Amino acid sequence: MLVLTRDKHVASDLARQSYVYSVAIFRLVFFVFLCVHFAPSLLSYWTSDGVDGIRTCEWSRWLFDMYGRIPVTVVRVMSAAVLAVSVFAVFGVAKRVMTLLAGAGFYCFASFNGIGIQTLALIDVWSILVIFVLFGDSGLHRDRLLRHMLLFQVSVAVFFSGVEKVCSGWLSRDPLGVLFAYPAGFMVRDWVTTASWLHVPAITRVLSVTTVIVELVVPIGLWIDRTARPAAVALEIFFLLIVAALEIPPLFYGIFAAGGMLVLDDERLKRMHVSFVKLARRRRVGATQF
Amino acid sequence: MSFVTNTLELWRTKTSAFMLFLPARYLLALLWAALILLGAVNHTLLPRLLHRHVNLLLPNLRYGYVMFNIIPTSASVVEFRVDDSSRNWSLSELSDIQTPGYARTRVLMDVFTAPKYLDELCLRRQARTGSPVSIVTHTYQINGGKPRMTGSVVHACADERQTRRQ
Repeated sequence: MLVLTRDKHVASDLARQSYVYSVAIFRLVFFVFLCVHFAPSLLSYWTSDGVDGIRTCEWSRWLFDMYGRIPVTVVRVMSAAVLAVSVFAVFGVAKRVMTLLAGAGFYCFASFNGIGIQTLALIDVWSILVIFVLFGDSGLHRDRLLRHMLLFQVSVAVFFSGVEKVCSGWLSRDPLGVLFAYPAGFMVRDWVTTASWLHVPAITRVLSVTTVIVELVVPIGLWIDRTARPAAVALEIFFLLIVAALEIPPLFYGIFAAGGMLVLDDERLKRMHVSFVKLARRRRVGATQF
Repeated sequence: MSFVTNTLELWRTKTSAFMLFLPARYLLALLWAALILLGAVNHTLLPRLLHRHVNLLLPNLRYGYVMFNIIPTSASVVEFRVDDSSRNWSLSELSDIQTPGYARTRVLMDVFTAPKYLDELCLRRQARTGSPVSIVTHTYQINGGKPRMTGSVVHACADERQTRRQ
């Protein structure tokens, strides 16, 4: 975390922050959303022999050719094994080994059912899985290095999405005006097609510019101590709105919004937990008295 | 970042280059971070500046397409009808693989990337139910923030397959 302070004691305290809990929360959310993302393709081999599935060769020509030679029974077993391993990874059992096996398994099945075209999610998935394998010793410097790498991956992905949008002319045009005008059944959720306020050019123009600003500024804000928490809140809201408005995989939310949790160190999470417990007790006491 | 400050502190206090030891894990972290940056630049800035991008081979660096960076002003909505009825059904109903939160888009993207997939789904549905299935494709143009239907095509699955064979 970049420390904007001249106080050496504060600086050294901040340098000793621990992120074990926030990394654990990120791991849990990440693997849960990953399981949900891949499960329909993996389970289809048990429910319908995968006959309604599609495989494409763009992801990996070698895998595409290989699957043609593997019996369906073997593919079924493989799909069950990958699902089982990913469930172990969710619960943090033998973390690095399960992460490695889950990653390899998900990669093998990434060419199924259009998963391979969702590159913005997948490239982050592969990178985060490798980061968990390479730097995933819990207790190593209280997970600071792991946390820095995960936050870096999330920040770079969001920042360069903003760069790409600037290069594509988002600041000079009104792309969200076009996107929100799409008919029902094409990319946007049904409520967007009926929300009249989302078809006002002034509003969509503001939203287009705001999108670019959020994507360029928030990733930087996540690394500065004073702006980290507001930036994390902005990231959560931003990706929640994206997934709520567009028909895209919930995995996007699971990766990027969960990344915002990484700004919370263990001390802060403990204080939040104590506050929630106190609030819950007060409400319970209040309800009992009533 | 704390590992950078730790490294700088280590450099400052060690007087002999021989005694300086940069933990291998930090080196690996720096290398991986550099690769992440390189991958991001490779797919965003490099194609625009140098009109090329490098195949970086690693799975997380091979692709870098940012969805919705360019938003086309035309849209095609594909649905299906059963038994000559006028009611249109979502394309996702043709597939048993229901993906949470984005079923319509997934099947639509699969159909756009592999048109024969629509034939297969359609014909399997016909074989399962015994009812004839027709595919309805509406095309729209977005002008001034409003969608305008520019065309609508209805064709039966069997016709589509015969047409493609021809």
